[in-house]
Amino acid sequence: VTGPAEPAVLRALRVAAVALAVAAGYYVGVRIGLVLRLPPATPSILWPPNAFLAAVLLLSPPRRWAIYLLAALPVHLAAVLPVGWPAPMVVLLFVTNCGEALLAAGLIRTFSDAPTRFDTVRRVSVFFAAAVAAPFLTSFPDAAAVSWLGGETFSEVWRTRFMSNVVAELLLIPPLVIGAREGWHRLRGSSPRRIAEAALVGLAMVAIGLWVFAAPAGTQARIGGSRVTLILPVLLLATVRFGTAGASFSLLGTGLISLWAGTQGRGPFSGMPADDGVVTMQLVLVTLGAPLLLLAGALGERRATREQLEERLGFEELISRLAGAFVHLPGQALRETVEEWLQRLGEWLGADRVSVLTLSATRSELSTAYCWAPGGGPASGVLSRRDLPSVFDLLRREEVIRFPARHGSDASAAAGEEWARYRQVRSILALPLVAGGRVLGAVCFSVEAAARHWPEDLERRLELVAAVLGSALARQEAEDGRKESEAIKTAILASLPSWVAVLDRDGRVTTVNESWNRIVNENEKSAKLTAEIGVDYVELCSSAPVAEPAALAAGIAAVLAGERTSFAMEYPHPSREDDRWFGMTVVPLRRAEGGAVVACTDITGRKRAELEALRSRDEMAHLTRVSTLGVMTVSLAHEVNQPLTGILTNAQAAQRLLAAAKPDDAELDQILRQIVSDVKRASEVIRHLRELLRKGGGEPGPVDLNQVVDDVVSLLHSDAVIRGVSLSVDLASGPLEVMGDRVQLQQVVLNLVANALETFAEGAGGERSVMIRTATEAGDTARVSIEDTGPGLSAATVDRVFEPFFTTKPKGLGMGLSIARSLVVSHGGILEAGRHSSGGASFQFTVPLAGGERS
Amino acid sequence: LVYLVDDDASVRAGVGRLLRLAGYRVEAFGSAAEFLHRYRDGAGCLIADIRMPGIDGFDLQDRLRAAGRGLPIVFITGHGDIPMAVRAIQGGAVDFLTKPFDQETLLAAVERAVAMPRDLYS
Repeated sequence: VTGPAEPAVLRALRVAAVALAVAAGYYVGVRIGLVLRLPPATPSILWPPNAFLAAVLLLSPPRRWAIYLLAALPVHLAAVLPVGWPAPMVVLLFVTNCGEALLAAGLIRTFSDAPTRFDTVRRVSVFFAAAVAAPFLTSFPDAAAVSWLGGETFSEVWRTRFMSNVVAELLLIPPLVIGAREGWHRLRGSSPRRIAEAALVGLAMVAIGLWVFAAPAGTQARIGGSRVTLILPVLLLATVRFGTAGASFSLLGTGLISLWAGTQGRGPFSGMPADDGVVTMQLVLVTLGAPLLLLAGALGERRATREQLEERLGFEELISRLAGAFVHLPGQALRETVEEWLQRLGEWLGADRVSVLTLSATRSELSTAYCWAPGGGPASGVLSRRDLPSVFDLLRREEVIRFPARHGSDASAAAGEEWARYRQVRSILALPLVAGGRVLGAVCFSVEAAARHWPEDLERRLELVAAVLGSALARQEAEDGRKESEAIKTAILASLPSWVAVLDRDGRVTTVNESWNRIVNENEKSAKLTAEIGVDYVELCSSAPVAEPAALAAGIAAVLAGERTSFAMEYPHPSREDDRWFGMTVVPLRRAEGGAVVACTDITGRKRAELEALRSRDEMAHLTRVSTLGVMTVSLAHEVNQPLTGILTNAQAAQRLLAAAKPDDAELDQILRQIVSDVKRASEVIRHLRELLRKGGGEPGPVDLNQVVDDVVSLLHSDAVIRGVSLSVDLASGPLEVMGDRVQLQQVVLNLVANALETFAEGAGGERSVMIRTATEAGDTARVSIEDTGPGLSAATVDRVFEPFFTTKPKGLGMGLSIARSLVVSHGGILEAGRHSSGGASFQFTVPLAGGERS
Repeated sequence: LVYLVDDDASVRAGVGRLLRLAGYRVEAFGSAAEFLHRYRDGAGCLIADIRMPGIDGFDLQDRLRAAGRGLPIVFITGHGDIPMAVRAIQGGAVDFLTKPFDQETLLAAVERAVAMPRDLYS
């Protein structure tokens, strides 16, 4: 992992400074090493330079190792040459020293998961192995050099060097590395109490160390070596209270005191021969150090586990509090709460920025909805799909984006890397926010300075955070939507000219709009059926000044009870100045607690227009009837002339009979019968004519459609004969009774049949027939169809025949069918045009049968 | 003998009765087709309606003439206009009467028709 970019000059200066420090440290180490030895032997009791170099190598990247080792060479030469050893040996000693440092550092780096930490059993064990193996191996060439060039005994040199170096590495490397890595921070971050405790333990260690190891030589003889064990409690105390740091620093202190005392000829080992005393001291240090460091490692492991557990528990607590905070959150507090929690999460995770991004409706933009950054960085920002398509794709597939990757690289890491580069951060984690199966956005954690890793368990816990935030976002979305539709509804209600009220399920007025209020205040409420809030509306309506108050109240009650889906009524409101009309509609409120909405409108304008239209339609209908009959004058004359001929001839025959001497009474009787029948027949035709020529509709009543067809056929019979068209009828058995206006229905049939007859051109060949059928349909509807074998209607014509002023006839008004359709519709039926299978035209209309459900 | 062809029963009854009382023998038919079916050549005249379903009066006139079965014809019609009257007379009709008509008009026309020399139509 590389550090953030740093100017080359600064980097070089830093390396130079470290190199200088290495040189200085090495020099001090050599001086100490040279002091701590029992001349004239070359190896010292404790040889710190090698351990110092090893510590430097552990703390620095391998590419700097050569620089730092070379920095030590001049110092080595300067410090060691004056001792008086042969120069080649001095150089060789430097080589073996470097070799030992390299070997130790290399081994630790290779086998330890955290080379600069000694806080687990494994890390301590690796350190031990390296601290023993490196001196062991490098002592061979070292001893060879010294025995060859310095003339000392090989085995003696090897043993002394090995022991002194092992002790040095054990005692020096941990405190050096720990001190360099965290010394200052740790000291600054500690409470005064802790510092005082450390000082006390240190003092106790020095006091007991001096008492144990620096006692005057004479006392040792009396108490022997057993006093050494008294140092153990203080070392244990330091280890237990201060972990690896406590163990390593107290060991170093103890070592330095005992070695110094040894060189002064004091302490428990002073009574022994020099060599034995040294070895015993070294062995004591090693046997004290190894278990203490291991104990520190075990304790550190335990503490790490506990901390991890505590962190986890703390995080779980954080999340449960987070979830709790969002459960009963009022909508307006959402923003502050989300931001507060982003801050807590960010601080917990050590993130530089935590943001909630929402996906736009078009799913092409991610915009920052909420954001936290320690310095309060840019709060808003929009990320477009064009910039980072892979990020959008992954989020839409509800996948997590993390960089750096956990194992190897994958699509998520690739997208994350792209994103991280885009945002100029070193690591990023984004979790999709999903609610109701829909991706709403993402929660994104980023770290600028360091490549933070995202362990699986952390990610899983953050998924809970994402779930909580997702549902919060969904709630907010719903809340926003609700507010908006509420605002729209209020605005619409207020702007309506109708007076609108909401009733609860008991029929009491609960909410009204402005128009309603105005009417209540204008004191017109009784006339316009409005009332104050709280009034029982159904009761009010049951005594309202309308034609059928009971029906009105029952209708509203039925809507409230859910028996009807709507109720509408129009009612006149006569007044001195002018008659006005009002319309009321009642629809149920689709909500759990029931209720209904009542809307009343002044429909006078519409009603007048309707009446006007009805009047003009009646006039138009009359006009068409007159014009239809006008066209038929010839055939109508024929129709009347036939019975008239019968009457006249019969009457004159009777005159002749009576003039005879003996009139035949039977014959006379027959003549009179025939005259009566012919008169009836003629008057019937006249009656039909008069009926059709009458202006305006009569009162609606029951009308038999079969009778209507018969009447029309009797009028048009002659017309059919004149045109050479056979007119046939197929009537439903039994009367087809509908409610309506006889004349209007006659006009419809007359118009359709007359049209059918007119389609046949004079003298054209082919079948010339018109068929009129009546039938019942679905038990509640009467159907009348008129089919002809004429040229028929083109597809274009079929669509237009009912349009006013559309005609195919040279002298047609183009109003007949349009009026016929409006008459049928006013009877609650449908009039349709079509093409008959024979190629002719086909018209049919329906009218609901009387007695059926009528609306 | 007078043959009477009219699709209207009232007309057939009244006209038939009047002619019988005036001393003519009358055979009445409801349609031209029926008359053509039953008619055997012989003396007399034909009173025919013009507008009838199926074969109308002019058709009947054309068919009789084409078959060489000449018979003097008096047309009676519910509505008459000049072109129709012209066509009837040009086709050789004896008279063209518009319903309703007086008995004198009818009997005069029949009398003239019966008096027509047969060979005029042969």
